[in-house]
Amino acid sequence: MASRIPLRKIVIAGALGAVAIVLGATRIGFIPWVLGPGFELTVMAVPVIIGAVLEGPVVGLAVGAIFGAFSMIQDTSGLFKNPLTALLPRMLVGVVAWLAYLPFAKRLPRVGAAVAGVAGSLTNTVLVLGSLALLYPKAVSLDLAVKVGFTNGFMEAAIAAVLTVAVVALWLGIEKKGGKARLADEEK
Amino acid sequence: MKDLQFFANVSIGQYIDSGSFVHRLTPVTKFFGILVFFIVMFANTNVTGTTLLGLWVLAAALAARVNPLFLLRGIKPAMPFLLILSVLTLIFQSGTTGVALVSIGPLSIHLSTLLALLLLFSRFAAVLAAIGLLTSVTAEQEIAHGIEDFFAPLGRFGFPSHEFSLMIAVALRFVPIVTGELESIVKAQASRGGDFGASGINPIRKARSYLPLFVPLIIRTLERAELLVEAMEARCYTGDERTRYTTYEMVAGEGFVRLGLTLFMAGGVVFGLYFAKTLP
Repeated sequence: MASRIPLRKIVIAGALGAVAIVLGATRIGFIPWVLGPGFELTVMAVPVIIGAVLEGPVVGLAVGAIFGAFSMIQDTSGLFKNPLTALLPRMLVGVVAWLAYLPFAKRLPRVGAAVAGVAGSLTNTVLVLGSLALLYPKAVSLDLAVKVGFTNGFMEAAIAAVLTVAVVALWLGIEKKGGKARLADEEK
Repeated sequence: MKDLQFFANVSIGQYIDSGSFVHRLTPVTKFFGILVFFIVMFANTNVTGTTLLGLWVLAAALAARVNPLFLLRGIKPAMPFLLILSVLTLIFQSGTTGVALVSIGPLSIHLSTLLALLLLFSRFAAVLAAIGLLTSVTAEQEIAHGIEDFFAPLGRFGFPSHEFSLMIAVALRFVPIVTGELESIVKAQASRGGDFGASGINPIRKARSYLPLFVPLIIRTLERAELLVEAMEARCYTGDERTRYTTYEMVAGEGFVRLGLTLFMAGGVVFGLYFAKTLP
């Protein structure tokens, strides 16, 4: 019996998962903004979205799971120790991003990547803040969630779209020219 | 642009071979231990529970003959962040009710605020120590096998436990690689005059300044992943019916360790949810 999931998908999911871990651990994945510490803009969803767009929903789901699990481990506030706030929303990010990319995949991959970036990032914002407001109304009131959602959510969506388009366009371009082994040449 | 070396102080991921009883346990038991830790931590949200849990980790570290101070070394790079967070907590929570311990002008420090800060620090230290302990008693190969064995029972329901463990193994192996790439990209862009620490409040400008960092990072990671895929396929990796070079036998007394962990988990959850409500 051959493996059910192609090796390529497994390895790319692992590699992008590592990017999510590094972005979180070094705090490079957080862009400081006006609202101050704790309300930084986050681009942590971008590796998940890129995985979903390039390799499909299973990879999106898996990278989201790594990102979610790592945020559970790293969390010190207690809010993200719950799989319902940390794990599930991040796993759905990949699936939603892939669904958003699907209609554009053949003809307009650039537009599709932008739409996937926006959809994936907004999924992250809405589900994470929504689950926080539902499960921990004392720490995160609905008012606060909506405020943060509006101020950060759209900004993050725009940033995610820019980054996703940049990476996806470049990567697909590289694939078309058949010049994938640039790194291999470099290391000879 | 001060932090070009990201992982200088991290104790997570370093295997320390002291050959203790804890080291000789099967990887499944070690993973069960860390799972128990997170479940108990989730059930205990106050200072008492977290402190007891921290003491449990300390005891495990001593049993494994790993220096607890080594495990806590990783707290150093996080200190500035934690300190800023504490100062903000002190300022913004100064208006809460209760008896003030100290009052300076409009600011007053309450017992509840101090306890909240203590909780923040003890939680951070406990998580760091627990993860550090797991990686210092489990070799890298064992981590991958442990994850596979741990999720193997789910295979009956169609869960791809081998694929999952391979993905985790790749992710763990890629963390230092991605970190290295990130360092060299940051240095390369900084030497060209790139400025990622750009202050100001225009988020679009900030996002654009992150482009030269993000795009190469992800593209180079994808390229490395493709290389790995090619290398594995060239060696006819298929993933099914694999045998292992290493097998894990349960050591004497391991059954008691598992039983003890189960009891600790049950006790910790009951303590956190029912008895610790009235404690600070």
